[in-house]
Amino acid sequence: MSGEGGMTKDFVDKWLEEHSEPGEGDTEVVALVQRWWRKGQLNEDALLRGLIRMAKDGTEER
Amino acid sequence: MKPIDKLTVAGFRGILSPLELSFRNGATPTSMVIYGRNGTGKSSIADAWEWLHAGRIDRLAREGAREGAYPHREASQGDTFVEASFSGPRLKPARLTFDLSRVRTPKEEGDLQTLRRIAPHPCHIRFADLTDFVYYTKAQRHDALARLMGFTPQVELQKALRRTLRRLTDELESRKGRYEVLSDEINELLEPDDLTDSAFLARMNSVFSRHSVGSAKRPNEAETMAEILRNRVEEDPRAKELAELERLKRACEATVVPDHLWLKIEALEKSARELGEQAGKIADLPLVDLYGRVQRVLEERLSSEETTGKCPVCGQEIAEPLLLEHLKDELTRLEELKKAKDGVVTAREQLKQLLRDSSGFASNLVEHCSDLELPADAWSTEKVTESARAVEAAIDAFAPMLESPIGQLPEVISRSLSRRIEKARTAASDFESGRKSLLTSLTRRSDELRNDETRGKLVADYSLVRDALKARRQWAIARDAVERLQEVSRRFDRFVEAFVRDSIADVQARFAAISDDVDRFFGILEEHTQGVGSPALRLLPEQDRAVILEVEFRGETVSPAYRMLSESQLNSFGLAAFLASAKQFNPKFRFLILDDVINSFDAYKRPQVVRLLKEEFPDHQFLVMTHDETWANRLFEEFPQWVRRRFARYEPTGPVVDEALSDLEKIQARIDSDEATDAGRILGPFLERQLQELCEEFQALVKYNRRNEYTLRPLLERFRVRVTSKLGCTHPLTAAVEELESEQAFRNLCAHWQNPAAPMTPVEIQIVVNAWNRVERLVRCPEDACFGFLRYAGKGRFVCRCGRTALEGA
Repeated sequence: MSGEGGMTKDFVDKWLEEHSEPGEGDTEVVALVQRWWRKGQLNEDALLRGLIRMAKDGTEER
Repeated sequence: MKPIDKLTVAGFRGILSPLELSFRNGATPTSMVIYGRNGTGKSSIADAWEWLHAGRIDRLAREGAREGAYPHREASQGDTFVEASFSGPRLKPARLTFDLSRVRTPKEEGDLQTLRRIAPHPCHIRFADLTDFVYYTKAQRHDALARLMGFTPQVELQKALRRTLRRLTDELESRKGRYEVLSDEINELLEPDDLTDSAFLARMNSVFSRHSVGSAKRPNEAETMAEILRNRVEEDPRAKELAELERLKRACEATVVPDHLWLKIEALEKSARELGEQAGKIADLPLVDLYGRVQRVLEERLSSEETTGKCPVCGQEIAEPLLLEHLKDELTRLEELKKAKDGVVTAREQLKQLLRDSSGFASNLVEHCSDLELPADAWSTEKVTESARAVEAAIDAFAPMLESPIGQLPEVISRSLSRRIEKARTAASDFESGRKSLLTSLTRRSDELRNDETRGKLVADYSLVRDALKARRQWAIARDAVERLQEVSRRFDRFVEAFVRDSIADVQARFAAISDDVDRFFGILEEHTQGVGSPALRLLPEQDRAVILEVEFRGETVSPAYRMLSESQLNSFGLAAFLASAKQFNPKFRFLILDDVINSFDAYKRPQVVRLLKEEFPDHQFLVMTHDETWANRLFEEFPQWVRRRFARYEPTGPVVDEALSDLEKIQARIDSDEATDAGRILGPFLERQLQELCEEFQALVKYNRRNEYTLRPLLERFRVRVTSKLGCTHPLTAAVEELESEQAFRNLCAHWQNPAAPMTPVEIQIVVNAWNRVERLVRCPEDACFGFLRYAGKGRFVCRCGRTALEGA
């Protein structure tokens, strides 16, 4: 439950923001999902490429 | 305060000319009813609001229509916009304008972001949202509920993350496959017990010791030993040639067209042929479940005589074959269709997998041929590499065809598969004959060069070491890639699970937050349904996106409730869930659009919707749209202060709008224009409806009349008796009812109602209307928020629902 009354329009953004704090989750993965989550839609192809690249060079796609 | 002052829609969907909907009644913004027949442009209003509020229209997106479908086709740049003006000083007008050059990025102006922030929950509901909730599977119902309760974005992300995780897992599996192939290659070369460094080095060192080149303790030292062996081969031209020929020979032996390629292609061709012409009907498959359910219900309910009628699924009138037979036939047809479709899906997936495994068919051979260090004219490999490339191209050519939608695949296959098979078989045959011929020549020459046993051993060992080291390097790279991707996959999996877990908790919390309201709203809507109540939503966390509805039926929990509730009752539940969510999650923006939501409600349930709006949403502003004239009239009567609009017809520029009149206003207009017959035609049913309701609310005993026609006089008479008995002869209401009943004009209306040939004058109609108005003023609560008929409350009292107006005897 996030924010005032669990307002779902903000749920995703708030959840990602909370989990982008160090110690709250995998910040690299969160940053990647945040990057490709726009206007209520996820760019799945770009996220997949980013994850594969993350595995390839061990760093988050920049 | 009602938040919306005016809504303007232009150049959008079916509306070209700017359509201004002012919510002002005098100086005060209020609610609005729009009545219009189907196709007059009402739904464009709900779409326009959704676009303004959410930036996209989910309903259209689900049907495959994206942003490019929003503008009216005649609209020019800047002509397509939606603007809301607000009643208080808190918000400036919010406007969204479509940009033809950037269809996904409309121009936002005014306080649009503020509007979206203070109204995070959807404000609109359409009838389709309710029907979706009735028919679908558990996961689809979860999505429908997400739309009603406004948690669609997180559900969409949840689904998108799951899809990405599946694709990542597929990628991992593909890399594992490559790793296993390389492991097999090393095993085939060295036959080690395992692939650890020590086992690999032990096997290498056994070769090195035969040629006294030392011993390797680490893999990089093995590279040095291999270099020494290579130098020895290089020093002997015949040994060098033998080494090169051996390498080429192995590449030739490894490059073969998989036998089962043709079998898989034939399997796809056969299954596509079986699907054949039925492919165009694949869209019917979601009906399988529905046909099954309808068949079960009808088998229980229909007697053998009642076997014809309208099919509840396809809508056909069924005379022959009988209805149950029709359902059975349709179900059989759809099940066969599903089997045929599944066959094509399986065959296609197997072929796709094989094509993926065969990708880069020619590359190994081409690579070996290109770096051969042999005399230029000794071996011509161009022909065999060209034919290998031709095979690769022919195999790759199958892939795009397989991406066609299943419904189109049989046609695509019948049109082009045989030509591609022929081409691929010819290329494979050419390659095979060239490959065999090259292998024969290579073997002959190798045998000649092997005459010297020492040279043969040296070359064989060098080739073994070189190939093993190369395979080992690739194997190590593949192993590391798998390990790293496995780690990223685990991390992403943990992320997805954490999000899904919190998302489910959020949805559970939403259910909990609205459960009391849903219970109460459902109770109001289903007040006349005996024994049903306490609806509850349950998430099934172990099943992704699954939700069930439970109700209590005569004290026992029924789960899932879909087994027992009718379509109309499920719609009541959906409406209750939406209204409860909007009330709970949009506390700062009390505006709601109800687009044709009462379609499945019987006449007795519609007053319950009015009651729900009045009792639970007195401070909300509504935009109610309907194509049902009776419902529209009901709303006009119950909410006289609301703005009323009628979409009279649709023209290419949009709906033609005029003011909608209530029945009494229509009657007055006809009296004023001297059209007594028309006025009487409206007044008769109007009074009858009012008196029916009054008799019910006042608990008047009315003599049962099976014909149920011409009931004006008996209704008024029994009403008068009831009023007189409870309020006394001298009460103003008794006097008003007696006055109406005793009017000659009322008796003439009754005669006219039974026989339209009986003449009436405008003056007589006016007398009846005036007399009725005097009655109505006494039996209706004057408060805007209530405005309902009084009802019997016991002990000789009649009280309205809000309790502010009452009648009692002296």
